[in-house]
Amino acid sequence: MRLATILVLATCVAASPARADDAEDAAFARLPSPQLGVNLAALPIPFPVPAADAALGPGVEVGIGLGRFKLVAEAAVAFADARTGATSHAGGWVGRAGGALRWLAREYQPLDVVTSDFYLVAAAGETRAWWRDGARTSRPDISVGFGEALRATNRYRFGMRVEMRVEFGLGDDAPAVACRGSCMTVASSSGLFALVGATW
Amino acid sequence: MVTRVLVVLAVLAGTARADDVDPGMLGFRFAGGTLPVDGARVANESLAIGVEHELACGLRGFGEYEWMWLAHDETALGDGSRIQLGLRHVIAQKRLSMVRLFVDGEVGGGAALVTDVGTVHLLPDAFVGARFGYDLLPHTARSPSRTFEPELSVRVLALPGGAAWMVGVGAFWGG
Repeated sequence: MRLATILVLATCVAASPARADDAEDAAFARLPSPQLGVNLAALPIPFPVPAADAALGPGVEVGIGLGRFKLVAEAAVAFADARTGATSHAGGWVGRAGGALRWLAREYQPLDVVTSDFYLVAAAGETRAWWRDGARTSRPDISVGFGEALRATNRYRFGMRVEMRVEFGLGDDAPAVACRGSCMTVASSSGLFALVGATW
Repeated sequence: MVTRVLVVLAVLAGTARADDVDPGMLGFRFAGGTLPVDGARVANESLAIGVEHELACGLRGFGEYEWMWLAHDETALGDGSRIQLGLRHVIAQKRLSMVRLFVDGEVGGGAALVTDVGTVHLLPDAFVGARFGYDLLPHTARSPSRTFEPELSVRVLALPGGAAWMVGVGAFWGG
């Protein structure tokens, strides 16, 4: 909770000084609202032992634009292989649901109907894992990062984007069920959350 | 660690303020490389966000904040942050109709604070490198950014524990 509070405050601090005047905001192409998206997501495996790997799977999102901000609800499901790097664990399915706030930091318009966007993003969510051995675990998370989107601003409103975040797990009840007492010292609670997707 | 990340992001975002002054360039990089940590060479992946401003005569100053994950033999060892400051200048360029191809040289330095299996290390560094990329030049009259600059970065770093390298891809949006 303390980290979540820091995240929200820092996001506000980050956004406020960078807020442009109305004239500059008007130069940004209007963000489509509502916007739907599908993506291929790489989720950090909610496992207490750090693993240099990720769970891959499909995701969906729906967002609404508010000026240069966008509020997004997102969900993804992915498969975590039983062998992750040099670490063995039960393996299983991972599902994540959460919300994100994006801020359009820069926009390049090569043509009247196309933009290349750079945005900053902060998100929070919860990841649940259904391990193969029958155990279930859950872990709340917060993340910060950035993304790049190429989108059409004409009536088709089609876009493609890549997003990367540093995700911090806020706790985990997985050790007892997943490690089976063989886990190493936990060295890190952060992981790479990445996705590539399409929006319209 | 989270607090440090957020404070740095806030500072970086603040530099993107839009006012009468050219806000410079803002962008990101995804990179991989090595670091000498505690006598061992560990691999690292990183996400970085950076700002750039033109100083004089084509010389550009830049600052970066980078989050790194450390790993060895596919097992994660820890993570950490790195801040780098540097200067870059064009070495060679060729302007085509809608694109400027470039090779830039860069020098700089900084420091990383990483946690390696529970032990915290401060790793100052100096680096030289090159950036290979292109500027897309055409833009609409109302485009908030005048350029879009994808690039490949290659760096060699000198640290107290030995040499290291980094290769990354990223993009910057012009002011």
